[in-house]
Amino acid sequence: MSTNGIASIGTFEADNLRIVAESPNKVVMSGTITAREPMKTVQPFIEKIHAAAIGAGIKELTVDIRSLTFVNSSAIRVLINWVMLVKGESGPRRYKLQFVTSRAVTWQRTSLPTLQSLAPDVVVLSS
Amino acid sequence: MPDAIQVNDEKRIVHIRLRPLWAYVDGIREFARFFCSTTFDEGVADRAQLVIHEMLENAVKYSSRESDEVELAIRSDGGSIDITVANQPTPDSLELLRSEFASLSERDAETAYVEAMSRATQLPSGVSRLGLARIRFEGRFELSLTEEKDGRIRVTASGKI
Repeated sequence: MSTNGIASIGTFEADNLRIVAESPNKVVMSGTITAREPMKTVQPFIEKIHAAAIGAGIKELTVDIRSLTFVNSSAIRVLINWVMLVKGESGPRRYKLQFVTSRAVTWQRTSLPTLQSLAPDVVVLSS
Repeated sequence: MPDAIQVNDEKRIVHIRLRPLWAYVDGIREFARFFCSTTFDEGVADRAQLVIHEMLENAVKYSSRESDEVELAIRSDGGSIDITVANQPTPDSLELLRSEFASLSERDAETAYVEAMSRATQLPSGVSRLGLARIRFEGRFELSLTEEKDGRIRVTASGKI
């Protein structure tokens, strides 16, 4: 297991979005995602994080989205894909996604519990 | 810039006409959120920006031509808010829209959103089809579809304040 975890992945910035691999097992997402095709921009970075998390043998990855104030439906699809990627792994490659959410952000109050219902054994919610 | 923005604060009305260009969508969401936050509470403004963004995204993605006109209207009588987006859809997208509305009418808002998320995992990359279900569940707005004789459609989201 790498001691750097996902931290070596660095930072992704595009439009109003910033994603920082802040520590070995923590990602912070902030801003908004309103791009027409986040699948082509954000998704590849998420896949890098996913690969690094598996490579580092991480058991739980914290994703702090409290400052991600608005996302469009295409961005929700990117989050769904991430959850399904993890769900498709097994054994030591499987890790938990702990989303740190804010009750003050409308989309997080409603869409995250629904996302959790797709894979309750993968998604953990905290605030 | 959009062709015309008319704001009547007294009657709580906004009417925007624009060409279906992606570059306008986020700016109009931010403007509409600001307008709603000066008129309603933050919770309503948050819900309204979601509705406006999703409806405008659909209108821009599925309009027939770039020269067509998309209209956004926000109206409130103080107790409720109506958000209408009108555009000229492509024939394929109109069929899809009819099918989405038929499906939504048979399900409560939460069930429809859970099913839409589950369905999204099976759709081609880049396609979500979550917008309308999200408007109902996350935005707590009810939706209606009106087809006009000239081929234009009006999608209206109505929500309580």
